[in-house]
Amino acid sequence: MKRFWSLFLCGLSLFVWAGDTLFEFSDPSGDDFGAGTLLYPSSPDFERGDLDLTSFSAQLEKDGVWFTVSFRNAVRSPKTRTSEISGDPLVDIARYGFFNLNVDIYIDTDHQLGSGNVESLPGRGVEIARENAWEKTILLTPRPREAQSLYLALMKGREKRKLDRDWDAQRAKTVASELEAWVEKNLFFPDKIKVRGHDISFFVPSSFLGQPKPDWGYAVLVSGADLEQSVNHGFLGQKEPGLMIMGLADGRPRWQFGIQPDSDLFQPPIVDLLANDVALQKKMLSHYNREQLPKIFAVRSEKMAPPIFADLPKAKLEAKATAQPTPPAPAETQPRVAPKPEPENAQKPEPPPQAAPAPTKSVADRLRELEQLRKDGLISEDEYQKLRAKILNDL
Amino acid sequence: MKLSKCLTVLAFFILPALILVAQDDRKIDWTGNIYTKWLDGDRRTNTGLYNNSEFGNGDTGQGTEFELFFKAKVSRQIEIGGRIKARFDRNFWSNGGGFADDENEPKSAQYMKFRGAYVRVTPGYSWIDSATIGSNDWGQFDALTFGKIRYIDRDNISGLLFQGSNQSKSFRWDVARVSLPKLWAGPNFSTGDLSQSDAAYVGQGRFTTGDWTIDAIGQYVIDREISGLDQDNRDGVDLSQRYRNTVMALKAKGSVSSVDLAAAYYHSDFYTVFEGTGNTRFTPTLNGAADDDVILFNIDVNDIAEGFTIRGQYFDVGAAYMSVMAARRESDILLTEGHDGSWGWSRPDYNVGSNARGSARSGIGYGGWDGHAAQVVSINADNDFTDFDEQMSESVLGWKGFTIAPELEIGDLSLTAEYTSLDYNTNWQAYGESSADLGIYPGMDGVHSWGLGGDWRSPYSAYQDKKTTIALIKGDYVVDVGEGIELKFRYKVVNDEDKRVTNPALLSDAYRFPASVITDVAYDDRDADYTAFGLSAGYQLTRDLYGMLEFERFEVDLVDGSIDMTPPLMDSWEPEFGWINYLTGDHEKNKIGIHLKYFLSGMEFGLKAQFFDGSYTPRFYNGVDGKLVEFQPTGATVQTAIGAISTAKVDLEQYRLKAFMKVQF
Repeated sequence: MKRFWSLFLCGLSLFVWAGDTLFEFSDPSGDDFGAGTLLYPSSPDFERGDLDLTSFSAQLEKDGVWFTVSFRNAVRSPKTRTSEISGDPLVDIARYGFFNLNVDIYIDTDHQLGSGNVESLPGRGVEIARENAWEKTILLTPRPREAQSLYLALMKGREKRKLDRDWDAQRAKTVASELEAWVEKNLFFPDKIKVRGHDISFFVPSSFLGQPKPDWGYAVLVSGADLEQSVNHGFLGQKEPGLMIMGLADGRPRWQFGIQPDSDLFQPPIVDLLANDVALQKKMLSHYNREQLPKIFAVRSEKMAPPIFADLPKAKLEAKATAQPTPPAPAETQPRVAPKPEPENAQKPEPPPQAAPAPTKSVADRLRELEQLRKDGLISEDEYQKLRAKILNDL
Repeated sequence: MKLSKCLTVLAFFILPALILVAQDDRKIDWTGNIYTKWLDGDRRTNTGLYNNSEFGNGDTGQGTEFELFFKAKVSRQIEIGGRIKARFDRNFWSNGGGFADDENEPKSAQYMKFRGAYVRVTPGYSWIDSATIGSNDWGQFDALTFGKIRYIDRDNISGLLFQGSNQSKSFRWDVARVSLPKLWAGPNFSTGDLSQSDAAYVGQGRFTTGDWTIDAIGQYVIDREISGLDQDNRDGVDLSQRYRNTVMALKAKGSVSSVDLAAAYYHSDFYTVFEGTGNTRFTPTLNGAADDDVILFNIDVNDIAEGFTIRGQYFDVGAAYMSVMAARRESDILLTEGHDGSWGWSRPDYNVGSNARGSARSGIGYGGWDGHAAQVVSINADNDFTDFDEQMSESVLGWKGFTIAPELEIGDLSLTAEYTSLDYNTNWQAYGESSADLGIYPGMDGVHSWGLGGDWRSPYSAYQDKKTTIALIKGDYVVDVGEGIELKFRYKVVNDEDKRVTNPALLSDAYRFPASVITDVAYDDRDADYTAFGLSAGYQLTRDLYGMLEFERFEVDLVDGSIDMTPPLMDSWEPEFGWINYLTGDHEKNKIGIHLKYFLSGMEFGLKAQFFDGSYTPRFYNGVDGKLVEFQPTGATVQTAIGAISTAKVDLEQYRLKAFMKVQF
């Protein structure tokens, strides 16, 4: 027993250093219901409050940023739990001290209309408002390495479907390496994570994030984590698999979030998001139809004008589902494709929201063409870099 | 008549066709997984593909499980689903398709079994969210009342579940009727001859306001049999109760500033006509009527200072608290780590027993289970069908005490400590009666509860006066090298003292074979000091491959009474079976382990390999003038009450490996 106490006291003699606080945003408590009608699963691993985001903060360290997300309930530990498909201990699968939630953070670093990406990660069912298009995305998830592998696999599959008959071994190799480079530059999956009480803190190095600025915008989404990709999103009526995200089903199912009677099954499976009031969250998550996804606006440290919700295409919100039973839309339902980012020239007036036509050439071909233009001296280095970034954003 | 017959026949053929046409638009979703396990070890047992299994364990062999899930949306309001899975645990590759001696054994022949199906109805009424009819894991309630069914039995238990909430979702309710599984949910592991109507009725309400949640749970379990008094069947058959079990619970939790509070009170009432069957000492319920309580109180003071949190728990689990359907494993109701699973092997075979009796190759083996134990309140704690990398469960009926667990972050170093002081509501003489034969508490599972790790399954000892303290410190730190080296360490000490018989008049009641060997209450005292030290380093070797090396050292300094000591209530045949071993002395074992994980787009591989090397050095004590006094043996053996015990040091080793592949589709 003496040895124990001396060891404990030794641990206290190390240096303590704390970084500067970059920002701290608070989120209303009790708004973990998505657009207003989500129900928690009936599994004992989920309880109201578990995914209720209450604050999002950041502390600057010498070589990066420690972000912290706080929840109304204490973060659940994977200890004593087992995998749902094998009975193996969940701590071997979810190594970082949490297992039932994801947090997406989309960072708008330049506030340039049309600059950046609007598409969210697979399965989120939302897009980021063009005014806050993101340049960097961080996904806090219980299995970061696996999520990164899965994301690359999903994107490769998407590219393959786009290219269809033009797909061959050479293109596969080129696409793979370009995707890896793009993910390395734009997406980060933290694996330096600490869980304490209600908080999950995670480190993002400055080699990815750069030097954070006070005027950056953050769109933060909280969703249920599907650790083992067991949800069949096609069965739920979606065109593409989600990235480790739980889906929605009627009533109160065991392993998905439920929805209240007469709610739309195609609402996004986002349980909570960072917004300064509940009404705004509900509005963001319910302003959609089959032609346009819900748009999520970011928050910034500076005072912002309230977000503007443009009219939806076809001029109508879809009526809420009636009481009459309606079979779920099969997989061939109109895809809810995120509109492609607007051209970089921000001076153009904002066009009406619509799905941009898909490029006729593959990303690889366009990059090769661009390279040739540079070699031939037909474009400057600066123009080359800008256009290259634009083409890569099409991924 | 002919025309109507024609029309009837026509309708008979047309109607199904119409239904089939209408169903064309519906879709059945098939998913599933293939799980392959590879076991290897130097104990060379291959009677099952689980390291610990009562009816045939194994550390050698390869086998595959195949599982299919189906799901369909009949309409917006109706969803159906189910699970089909191959039988295990003798699904060895070497079965060659089952065409061997054990072809007729369903687990070897790997028949696909219908595990369960459900229909989930979402009628669309505002006061009910869902009704689920059929199989479920029943995790909606509480580990101390109706606990989540363990993974391998998931979907084996069926019933009716209704769930609802109010418009504002501030109130939620769940009500269920669950058919009692007749294999274990009753006295003597049975629900009697008339089992089909036996059920558990459970309901809970949860009210949430602001940061506070209040739960109320009520459970009633009833097992009825045909009444022997009713001799006239002409007016129906009367029933009598075989047992009933009522549990009520009230829980509250919430936050005040940065302090989280949670309190829970449970009361159980149990009645049974079953009084034991003489030879069967173990039964998963009490052998008589009793009621008792559980009190839990948790407080977490978050961020007292920068990076410093203290968690605390007070607990008092009544000795006679009884909930037949409480969680048996895969739940942990206490904050404390409890005991280490490494000493959980119940048949240590150091000096008594033999290979012929199989004791050395029974159960999990010398290395025990990884990690620490999880605490459950079931008498029927379940570690059957588990592998060494799973968490051991231990029953904590009768535990009372407190735990303090501070957590501290110093830069990148995270530290957690624990101090637990344990007393027991099961400290009594002869179960609180004039003789141990009168107790309603089921006897310990054999007496291999004796000695090193105690018995994880049964919390009751006829004679006990015990105190335990647990203290530990553990930490983790990521060294910023490459992808980051994840370092973890832990240091743990457990002190366990039990005076056992304290009433001299009851010595002869406790020690029956051989009779009256213990002549003083001090000569049966047990004092055990457990120490554990561990260090591990993990590294992401590539994006898809993770590796970890670990080292652990375990020591036990055990004094378990004098050489005249036998376990209380030991039967004469037990030493021969190797369930009793002489264990006083110094125990140590070193463990080196490697852990690999590989992930590839939907397919996962895992591997754990461990090597144990250790020893046991016996020590011997006589009872002298009311004290235990150690003596140095002069011969090769020392005669004790359980046989001639070698004085030589015993060297022990174990190698074991588990690898798995998991593919989801």
